[in-house]
Amino acid sequence: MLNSLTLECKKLKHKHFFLFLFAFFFLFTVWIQVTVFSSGKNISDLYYIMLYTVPILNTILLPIFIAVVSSKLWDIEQKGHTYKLLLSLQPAKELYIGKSFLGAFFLFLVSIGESIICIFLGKLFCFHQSIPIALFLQLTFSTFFVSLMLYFMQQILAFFFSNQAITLALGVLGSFVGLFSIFFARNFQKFILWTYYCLFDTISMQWDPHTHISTYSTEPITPVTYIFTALFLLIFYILGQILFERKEI
Amino acid sequence: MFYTCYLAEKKKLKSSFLWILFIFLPILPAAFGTMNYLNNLSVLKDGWYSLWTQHTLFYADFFFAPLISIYASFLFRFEHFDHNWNQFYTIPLPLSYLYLSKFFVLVKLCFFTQIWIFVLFYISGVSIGLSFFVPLKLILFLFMGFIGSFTTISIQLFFSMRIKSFAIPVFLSFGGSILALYATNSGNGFFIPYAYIMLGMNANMSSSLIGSHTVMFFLGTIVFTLTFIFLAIFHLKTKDIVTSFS
Repeated sequence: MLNSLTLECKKLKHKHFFLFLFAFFFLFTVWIQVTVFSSGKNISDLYYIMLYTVPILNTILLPIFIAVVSSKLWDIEQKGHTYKLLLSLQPAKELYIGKSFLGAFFLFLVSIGESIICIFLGKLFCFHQSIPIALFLQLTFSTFFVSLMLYFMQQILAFFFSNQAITLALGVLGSFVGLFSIFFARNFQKFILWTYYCLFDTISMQWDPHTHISTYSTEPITPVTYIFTALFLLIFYILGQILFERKEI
Repeated sequence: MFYTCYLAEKKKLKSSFLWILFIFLPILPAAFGTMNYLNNLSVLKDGWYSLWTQHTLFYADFFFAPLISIYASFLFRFEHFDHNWNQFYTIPLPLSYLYLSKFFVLVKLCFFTQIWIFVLFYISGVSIGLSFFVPLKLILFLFMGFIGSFTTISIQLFFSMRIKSFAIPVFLSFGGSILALYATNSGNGFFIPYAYIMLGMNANMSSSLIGSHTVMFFLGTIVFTLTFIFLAIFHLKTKDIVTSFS
């Protein structure tokens, strides 16, 4: 498996994947900075505002980012018609695991990078609030967890269809549906995969229409959210593996 | 000759997946926008104008540019496959014709996308009880959005030609839209090519985003569009091709 992962890494040589990752972090930094500081610099719970905002940004940004990652990883094989060659040299399962791990690695970098950027911005602009480490760890974990679930779903399309427009269209669609479903009822949201970033939000906001003041407080994540995410993640991974092993090449 | 190139490009789209995308993607903002409008009737009291803000909210800000970039990447995907760039260069026609035919196919696609958006907008409005007559100003916004899309079309075609990956130009357009959103909100939208769609469509604003800067809008559209078309044709004419599998 390690061999397969190394091979996948070699395929990405000169593909500027890290440049793409930095472009994502740049966008994220600009957006989070503008969003958070539009709330006012002196507010005492700026970290809470960040933790409340990041899942919403992820709902918009990450479905497209994940579609791009999965498309880039699998499109190499689609364009070069390399399945025949590759699958005569290594089992299909190994290739699938290699791609899955590499995608997961990138998503892990994204998840951890987002939290680091938030903490760094907090330090840079001298937030009054102490860093809520546990909440940032939770954010990192949930971002990774949900992204992985979406990645496993996206990569099924990426290897199944040679036309990558389908994968990317689903990413754009996911971003759109996720954004709108923020306004839906919680119970309904559980059936919309792209809303899971917001379901893992550890901060809730109460807006007072009379004073126009928003207050932020922590809220627990329901175990059902974890169970549903894990279930979807497993289903997509196993389904992907079965479909890839049975794929006609 | 140019028309032959145009017809050839059109043939590439025949029976392609793009049409499904073209039909179904705009239905979502229409459905969600209408739902949002109905849920906020106490705040949104301007009838067609309010419905317009809800329909164009997110669509013009985030999703029209990625949709254009998927169209553009699809048009250049054939060239990036196998050794098709060799074939592209050996067609006995001017390279500018080949490139501009793609540009006009994309313009036509965007025109029909806008028409489809308007049809959905009209159906939504009438079905929720708004009057049968849509204010002419909204049709003007729609048209201006179409004109504004020329800048995104030209920049995305350029990226799709230069970047072999199908996915990266789509991400770039999404990133561009986000930057454009902030530029527009801070009054600097005219400097970002991706902002012209939201400026033209007057996305999510009750007051005109262009205001008294109509000349600036048209001038910016012409400058950005021509610049990227020129860059693309210059690149085609001066740089050597690299055909590979990746």
